[in-house]
Amino acid sequence: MTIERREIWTRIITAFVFAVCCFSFFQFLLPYHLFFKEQTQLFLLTAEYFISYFEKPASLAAYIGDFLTQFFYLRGGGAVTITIVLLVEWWLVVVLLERTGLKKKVSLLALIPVLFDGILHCELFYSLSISVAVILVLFSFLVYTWIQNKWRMLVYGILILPLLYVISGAVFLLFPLLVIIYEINKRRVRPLYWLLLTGIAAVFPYLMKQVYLLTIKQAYRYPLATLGMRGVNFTREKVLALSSEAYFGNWERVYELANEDKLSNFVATYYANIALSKRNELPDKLLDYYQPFSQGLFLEVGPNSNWIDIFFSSDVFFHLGDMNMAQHSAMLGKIFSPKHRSSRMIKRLAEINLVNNDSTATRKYLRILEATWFHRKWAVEHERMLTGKTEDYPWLKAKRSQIPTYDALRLSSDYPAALNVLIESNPDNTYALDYLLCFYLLNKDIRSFGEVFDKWCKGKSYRKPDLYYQALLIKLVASQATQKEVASYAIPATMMNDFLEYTRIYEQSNGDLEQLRRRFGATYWFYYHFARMQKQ
Amino acid sequence: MKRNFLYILIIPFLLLMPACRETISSPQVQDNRPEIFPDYVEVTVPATIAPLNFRATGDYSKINAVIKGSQSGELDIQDDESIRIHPKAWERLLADNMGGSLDITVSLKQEGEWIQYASFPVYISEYPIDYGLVYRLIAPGYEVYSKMGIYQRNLSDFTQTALLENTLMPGTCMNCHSFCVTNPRQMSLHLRGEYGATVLMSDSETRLYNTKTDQTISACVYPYWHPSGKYIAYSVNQTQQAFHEIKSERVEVLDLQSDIVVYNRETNKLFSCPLLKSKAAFETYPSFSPDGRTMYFCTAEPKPLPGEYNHLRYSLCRISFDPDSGTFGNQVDTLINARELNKSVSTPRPSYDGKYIMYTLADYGNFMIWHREADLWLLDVETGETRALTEANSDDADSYHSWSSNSHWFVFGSRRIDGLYTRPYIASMDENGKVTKPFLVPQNHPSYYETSLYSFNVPEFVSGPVKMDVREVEKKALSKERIPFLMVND
Repeated sequence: MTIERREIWTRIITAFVFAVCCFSFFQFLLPYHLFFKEQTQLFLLTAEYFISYFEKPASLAAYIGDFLTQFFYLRGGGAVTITIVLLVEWWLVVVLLERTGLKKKVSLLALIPVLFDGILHCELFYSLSISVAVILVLFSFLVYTWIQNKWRMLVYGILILPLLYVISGAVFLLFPLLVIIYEINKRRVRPLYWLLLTGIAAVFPYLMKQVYLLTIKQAYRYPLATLGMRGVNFTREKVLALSSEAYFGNWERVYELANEDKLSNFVATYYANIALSKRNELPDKLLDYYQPFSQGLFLEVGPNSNWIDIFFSSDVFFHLGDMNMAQHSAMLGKIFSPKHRSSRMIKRLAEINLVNNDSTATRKYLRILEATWFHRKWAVEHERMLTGKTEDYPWLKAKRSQIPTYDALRLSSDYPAALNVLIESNPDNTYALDYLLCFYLLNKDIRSFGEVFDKWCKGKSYRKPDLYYQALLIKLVASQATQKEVASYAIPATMMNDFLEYTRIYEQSNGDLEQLRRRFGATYWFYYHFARMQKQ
Repeated sequence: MKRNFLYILIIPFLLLMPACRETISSPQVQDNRPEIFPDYVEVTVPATIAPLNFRATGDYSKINAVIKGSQSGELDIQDDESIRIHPKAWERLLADNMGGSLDITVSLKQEGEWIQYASFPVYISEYPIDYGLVYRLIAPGYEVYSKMGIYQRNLSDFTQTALLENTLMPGTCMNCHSFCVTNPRQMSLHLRGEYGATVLMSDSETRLYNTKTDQTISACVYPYWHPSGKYIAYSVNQTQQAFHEIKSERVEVLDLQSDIVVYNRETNKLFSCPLLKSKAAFETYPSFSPDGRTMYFCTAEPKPLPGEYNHLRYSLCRISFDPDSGTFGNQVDTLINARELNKSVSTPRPSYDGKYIMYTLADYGNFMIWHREADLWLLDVETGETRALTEANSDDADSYHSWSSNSHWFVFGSRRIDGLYTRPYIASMDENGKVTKPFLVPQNHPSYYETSLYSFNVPEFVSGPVKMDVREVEKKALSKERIPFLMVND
């Protein structure tokens, strides 16, 4: 086998192995990161949308990158797209290394920068636009190496640099670097030319920051949002899995994933709680999961909130039927996402307005989605719901029955006020009732829990969860209730006995956590005595 | 050979190009007017407005519009999607027909057939309009804020340029841009958040101030320039945001306290008077009469909040002001009595010719953009008569308004399109107070407003382009050095 032939085979094998590894990594280890990236963007196939990319540098790279990112919506689409993009990048590096005269191990050496780029794709803020920008710069440099005449090279270098900034953003800084390395390698020493190129590269972003309204830092980084690598975050992947499956409507899968992982993460708990609620098991299994007080019931939206928490915060309101807060959260989720556009939030806003029977607002969002490739079908289906009979769509009927029937004014963080309105409006909204009762229990507000229980649950014949009986016993002991009062709650005798046993061990062991954990670790009494909020 | 091959490809393409345009012969004629978006049917526009590009609603494969001037000129435009008028041809058509009208005949190709709709007029006013508008683009969401910016729009074309975007100062909210009688060289703007400041731009310089003093309840909020440019009246408000539960209402912004102060730009001092910072009343939304000798403002009797939020109603009042001494009179007159009307007034804006005060009227409160029932009203200063501007109002929120420098145009924010996003509408008013049907500020692409997810907040006329040195503002904002406002005790 000739050396050339061996090199060709090495390349084919390298490309194949790399492609398989890259695809497998993203498809099997980080699929939900890629789903999430698609959810936080909205790619419209309109001329106006294309033009909007020219408001910032890296216009073409960002447009192509976002165009490709829409394929992340498909199962496997993200892994395939990233693999293809990285393969193109690798191939360009191979060709360029060859142009510098390297003959051996070119394909392996070319993997180094590509692997670096690939790892960066594990970051949520790292977009495909950056890889596309790198490809555009590498290709421009490849053209440079094809030019034979040194004066033409000079003219091309000077002209292409500003253009590269416009189409590739800060990645254009690679170009003069590559030129200098290439020319040194070719023993073509032109320090004045190099200085000129470096000068243009150094000054151009500074000059353009005025045009693009960027800070100096942004001008030299765009479209890179942040620098540095934090590596692969598998916990985040699990949280994103919960969130994405919720978005896809696979709540049973959310339940399974929450059960498998049992993460000590409040966003994971948040989704686990909604999944439990959907199964009407929230109070039954609440304490089987990590519960950071009520933070796992509602995600706080405030000036110090993480944008991802804000992004997820509408799901619970939508589930409970609080459409106004769901809308508020979804709007914030959209505007706080990195590009201030989000297909997932637009869908949520369309759903909210569909539930509210606000056809004008619904159509606004559906029309936007109709201008996409992958959400058009969804939009058409929902347009049908808008004009069809509510009875034909059970989910819509159920959601509309949850809508509050009277008005009240409340602060965004006053969850009990909102839940009370939902329950008063529709006493069959057991999701809201359980959320309210659990909210008080997780905050150890036994008095408020008792009031809500007495108003909505006491005397009703249906089965009450053990959690509520356990809390009631605390309330009854604290209020030194009479036997008649205790009897009015019809608390099962076994529960009474367990409570006496818990109290005995608690008193005998002087409140020893370990002695109680084994038998009573999943009881409200244990939570009430030992749960403490820790600063994260 | 290669070149010949290229010609073979190009020539048929060029020959086919005009063939895309269809000749409409014997169309099916209908008596009704077409439904178009934006709705430009019978609107009155200034002679320098950008092309009124539009599309028809419903399904069609082609749209054709013949635009005929009442005095001269005709345009015939055909497209698959929308009518987008060539700017130069439009400019000429408007100039040739000033004071007259354009007659627009729309035909739609539906299911292979051309249907010609009844024509409609667009009136071209003789009143000139100012250079453009300045507004804030912001997604409707409060409490926390992400991307937003202050932008200026040239009304004679589609150019929108950013004056300031908060990406330059991450985490900063920017609001309440205000000009001295549409003068683009005298501007006030608030920045909130870590880099909080009030930016005052004048002919000579741009300065950043800290407007919160020990004696005022907050930093300065709603501004209004004295016509002399010497003073700026501000409200100071302790505000809270709350949410409605019912779907027809959404957000409520409540003042828990508010007063009015006036800033003297020459002495760098804030002053007020007991009647404008009474403990027994909320005072807000100050504005000056064009002669500078009267201040209009809104005032309400405090109620327990948020419990009685829907009983908080603001009256429109006035107090005399002496610009020479910077002192107020000792009597407040009520022009619109909230208690009698059982309604609430906000944002009184006197026309610059002194004839009228335009204000927003709603059932309660003072933050009207979330009030679907909010409408524009007009008070005749001389006669004291007041009326709803039914010519301009809609079923949804019609709120924040601003006058052009000649008082013949006003711009206001309306949520009539979708109930969610505020869009800028402009209407004209003649010498007799007759108001025309408002038109939506035109955009290059007619569907712009349907896909835009930003509200046009606080539209203000400017008589020329604002030349803000963004870098200077950015540098000064990031430095956190602020000139303090000094409060003069009464």
